[in-house]
Amino acid sequence: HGRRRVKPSAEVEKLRKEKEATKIKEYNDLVASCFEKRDKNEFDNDAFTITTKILSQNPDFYTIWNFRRSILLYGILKECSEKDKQQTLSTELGFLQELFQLNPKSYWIFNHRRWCLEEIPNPDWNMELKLIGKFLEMDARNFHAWDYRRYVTFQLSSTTKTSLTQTEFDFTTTKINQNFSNYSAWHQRSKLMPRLIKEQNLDEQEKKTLVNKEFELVKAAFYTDPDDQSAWLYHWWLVGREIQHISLLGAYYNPKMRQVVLAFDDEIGMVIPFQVTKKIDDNSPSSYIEGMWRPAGGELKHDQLNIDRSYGFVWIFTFFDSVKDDFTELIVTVKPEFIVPSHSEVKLTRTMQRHCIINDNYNLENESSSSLSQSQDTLPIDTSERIKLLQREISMVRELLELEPDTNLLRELKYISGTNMEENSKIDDEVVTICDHLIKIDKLRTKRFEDLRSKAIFESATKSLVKLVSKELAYNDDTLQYQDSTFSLESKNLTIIPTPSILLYITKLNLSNNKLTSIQFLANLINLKEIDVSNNCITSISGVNRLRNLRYLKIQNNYIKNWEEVKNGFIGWQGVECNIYISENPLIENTNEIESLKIGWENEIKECSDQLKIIWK
Amino acid sequence: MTTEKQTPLLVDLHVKYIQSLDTKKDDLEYWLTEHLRLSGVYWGLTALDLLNNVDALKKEDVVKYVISCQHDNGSLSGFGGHVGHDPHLLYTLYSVQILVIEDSLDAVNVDKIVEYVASLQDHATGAFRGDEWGEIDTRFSYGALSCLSLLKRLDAVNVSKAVEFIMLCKNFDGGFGSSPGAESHAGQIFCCVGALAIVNSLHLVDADLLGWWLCERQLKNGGLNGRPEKLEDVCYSWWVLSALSILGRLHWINKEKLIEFVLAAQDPEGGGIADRPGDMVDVFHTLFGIAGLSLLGYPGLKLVDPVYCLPKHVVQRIGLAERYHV
Repeated sequence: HGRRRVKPSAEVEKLRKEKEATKIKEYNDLVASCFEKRDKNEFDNDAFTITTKILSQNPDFYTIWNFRRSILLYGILKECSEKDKQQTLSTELGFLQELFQLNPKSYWIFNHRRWCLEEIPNPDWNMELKLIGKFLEMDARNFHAWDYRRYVTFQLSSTTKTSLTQTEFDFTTTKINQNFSNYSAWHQRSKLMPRLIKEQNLDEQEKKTLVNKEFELVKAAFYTDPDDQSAWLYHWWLVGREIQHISLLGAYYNPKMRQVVLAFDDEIGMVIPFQVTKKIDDNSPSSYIEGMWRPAGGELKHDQLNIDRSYGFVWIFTFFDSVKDDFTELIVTVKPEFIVPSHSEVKLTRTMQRHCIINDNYNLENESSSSLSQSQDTLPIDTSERIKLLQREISMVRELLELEPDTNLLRELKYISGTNMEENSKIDDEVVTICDHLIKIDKLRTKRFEDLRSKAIFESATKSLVKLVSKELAYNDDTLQYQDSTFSLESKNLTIIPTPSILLYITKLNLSNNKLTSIQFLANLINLKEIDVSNNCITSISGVNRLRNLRYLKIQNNYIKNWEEVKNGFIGWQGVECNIYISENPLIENTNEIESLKIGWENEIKECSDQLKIIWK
Repeated sequence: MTTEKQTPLLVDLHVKYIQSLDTKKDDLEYWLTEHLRLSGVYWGLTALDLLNNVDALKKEDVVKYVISCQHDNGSLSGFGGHVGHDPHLLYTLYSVQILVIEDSLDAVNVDKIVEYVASLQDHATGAFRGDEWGEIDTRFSYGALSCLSLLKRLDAVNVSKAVEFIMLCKNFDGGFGSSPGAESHAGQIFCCVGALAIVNSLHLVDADLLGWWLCERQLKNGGLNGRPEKLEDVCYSWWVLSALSILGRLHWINKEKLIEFVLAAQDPEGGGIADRPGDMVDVFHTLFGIAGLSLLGYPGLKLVDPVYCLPKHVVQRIGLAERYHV
C-alpha cells in the first residue's frame, strides 16, 4: 500500500538485482534452515536466533512466529524458573517493541505480544497502557492500537478489580479535544457512555447532566468543522432513532381463488408459516386449514438447513383442493417469532400477536395498536426526554444552517431530526425541500437523496390510504369484482416505491413520468387492472406475470433495450386479456428490420398466451 | 474539468501481469511475500476469470499447488499460505475458493477440511479463531462460514452462536468491527455483512444507517476510503461496494466517478492495478479493482458475486442461492 510507481532504467534495475541476489540467498538459506529445525522439532537456542533474524526482516511471516512460540514453550521456557521465565519474556517484549517501530500495524506482532503477556509470570499492564498511549499519540486512528488498549484495560481492571471506565472515558475526551475528527475516539466513547451510566448508577438528573455535556461537546465539534462525520453520527446516536413497527396493513379472503391475502408494511421474511384456521359455527372449535403460503410474485423457498427464506410485503395462502369452504370465520395468526423484518431498524413488539378475523365482508378486523419501544443500541433516555432533546437539537441545527447553508451533513441531520419527530405533514414538505437541496450540493450521493425524497413523497401521499384500507374493499358477490379505486402519483421524480403493499387494494395505478428503474414491486399488487408506468427509467418488465386482473400495462418511453426484457415479463401468463403498450423504447429503434422484428415478436407473445397483445403506438 | 479520454480497462495487460507474478524470482520482495503465495493465486485466478481468461493459469498447476499447501493432521486438514507454512483458516478459505473455480473439489478430502474449520469455533462465544494460536476476528467468522457454505457443510458449526458473536461487534454507526468494541471498518463490514447474508440473517443489519455510512466513504476524487478521514484505496471499491450491493444500496454511490478512479489506478505499461493512481501495482488491488468494476457493471467482465467474491457463474454452478438483498 502507498508506494509510488517508478520505472527505473535498465541499468538501475540491473544494479538492484545484483544487490538483492545476495540478500535473497541469505534469506532463503535462513528460512530453509529454520524449516529444517522445525520439522525435526529442534526447539533450541539456534533455532530461536534464526527466527529472530527472519522476523526482524519479515514480521509478517506468521509460520515463523508460530515456531518461535513453540521454541519458547517446548524448549527455552520448559523447566525454567519463574525468574528466568520473567526475564526471557521481558526481553521478548523488548524485541517486539523494536519491531513495532517500523510496523505499528502488524496483526502478528500484536498477537505475539498478547501471547507473551499471557505466558509471563508478572505482566505489567500499566506499562502496556503507557506503551499503547504512545502509539495513539503517533497515530490516533490506529485501530490495532485501540483494540490492544481495550484488551489491556480489560486485563488491568480484572487484576486490580477496579473499573477503568471513567479514566478511559476521560482519555477519549482528551483525544477529542486534541482533534474533533477523531472518529476512533468518538466510537470508543459510544461504548463507554452506556457502561458509565450503568456502573455509576446515575439517577435521572445525573444522566441528564451527562447527556447534556455530551451534546455540548458535539456542538463544539459541529461549530469547528460542520462537515466532519464523527460528531454528527455520534449526535444521531445520542438522540436515538425511531424504531418502525411492523403493522399488518390488510387481510382478506378471495373465495374465487380460495386464497387468503395478507399485507405487511415491511418486506418480511417468513420463518414459520402463519397458522390459518376456520370456524364452522360458534359452538365447534376451530380447525387448521391446509394450504401453501408464498410471497406474492414468488415461491416459498426452503432447504434442509432452513436457511433460505422468502421475503415479501404481500403474502398469499392458497387452500389445498381438499379443503371445504364451509366456514363462518377465518383466523390467521401471526406471531413475532414467525417472521423476520427486512432490516433491524424495523422491529416487532414483544406483544404483537395478530389474529386477523376475516368476516362476512372478507375484511380485516381487530386492528390493535402497538406500543413504542426503544432500540437497545441507544442510550436509556425515556421517550418524553427524547422528544425534548430532539426539539432542542432541531433548533440548534437550524441555527447552524444559517451560518453554513451548504453543508450537506447539517442538512442530513435536519432531515433525520425531522423524520424522527413524526409531527404533521408539514415535516414531509420540509423533508422534500431538504432532499432537493442535498441533491444539488452532494453530487456523489444523489441517488440516495432521490430515494429519501421518494420515500417522503410516497408516505405523505399514501397517509390517507392506510386508514381507509379496510373500508375500500368490497365484494360484489355476483361477479366477485373489487370496487375500482385509483391511485396516482405522477411527475414526482420518484425513484422507488418504498411500501408497495399500501396500494394492495388499488385497481388503477398511475406512476407515469417518474424515475423508476424497476417495477418488481408491482408483483405485490395482485388486484391491479390498469397500470401506467410510462415515462420512467425501466429496463425490464418484471413483476407483472402473476397479475391476473391486468387489462393493460402502459410502459411507453422507458429504457427497455431488447425483446427478452418484454417477453420474460409475461412467462406463465394466466390472466385476462391484456394490452402491452411499449412504444418509444430503445428496442423499437427505426431500423430496416424493425417491421419484420415486430411481427416475430407479436407471434412470440401469442405463444406465451393468446390473451396478450402488443400495442406499438 | 478536463475532457481527456479515459483509459479503458487494459484487459490483456492485466492478464499478462497476473501470469508474470511467479517469474519475479530475482526480487527480494517475491521471497519476503512467500506467505501470501496461496492468497496471490486466489486473487489472480479470480481476477482472470472475471476477465474471461481463467485458463491463463494452467488448471493442473494451480490444483497441484493448492494441494501442496495442505496439512494433514489426522482427521483435520487445513491449508497454509505456501508449501510448508502452518495451516490457517484464511488460507483454507482461499484453497476452497480456488478449487471451486477450477471445479476440482474432488482433489481434496472435504470432510477433513470441514473438521478443521469446525475445530476453530469457540463454543462459548461462537467466534472463530484464525488458527490454533487463538486470534479472534470477525474476518475469521466470514472465512469459516463462507468456506463451509461453499462445501455445503454449514451444519458442522453452531451458526446461531456465530451470528451472536458477529452482532456483538455491531457499532453505534451500524457498522462492524473486528471484535466486540472495535471500530467500524469497511473490510470488517464486508466480512460481517457477507457472513450474515450467507446464513440469511441480514434482517439484523441497519440497512439504511449502514448503507449511508458506506456511501459516505466516497470522496471527491471518486475513490472510496475504508473509514472516515482516511485515504481512498481501490481495495475499498470492493469492501464497500460489495457490502452496499448485499444491502441493495449500490446505487447510493456515484458509479461513474468510482469507475474513473479505478481505471486511473491501472499501470498502463506493465498492467495490474494499484491502491491509487500513480502507486505501485499488486495482485491484491488488481483483483479488487476488477471485482469492483464488475459490480459497477463495467462492460466485458463476468459478473461477480458480492457475498463470496467469486464469479457468479461459479457460485451458481455449485448451486448456491443468491444471498443478498431481500
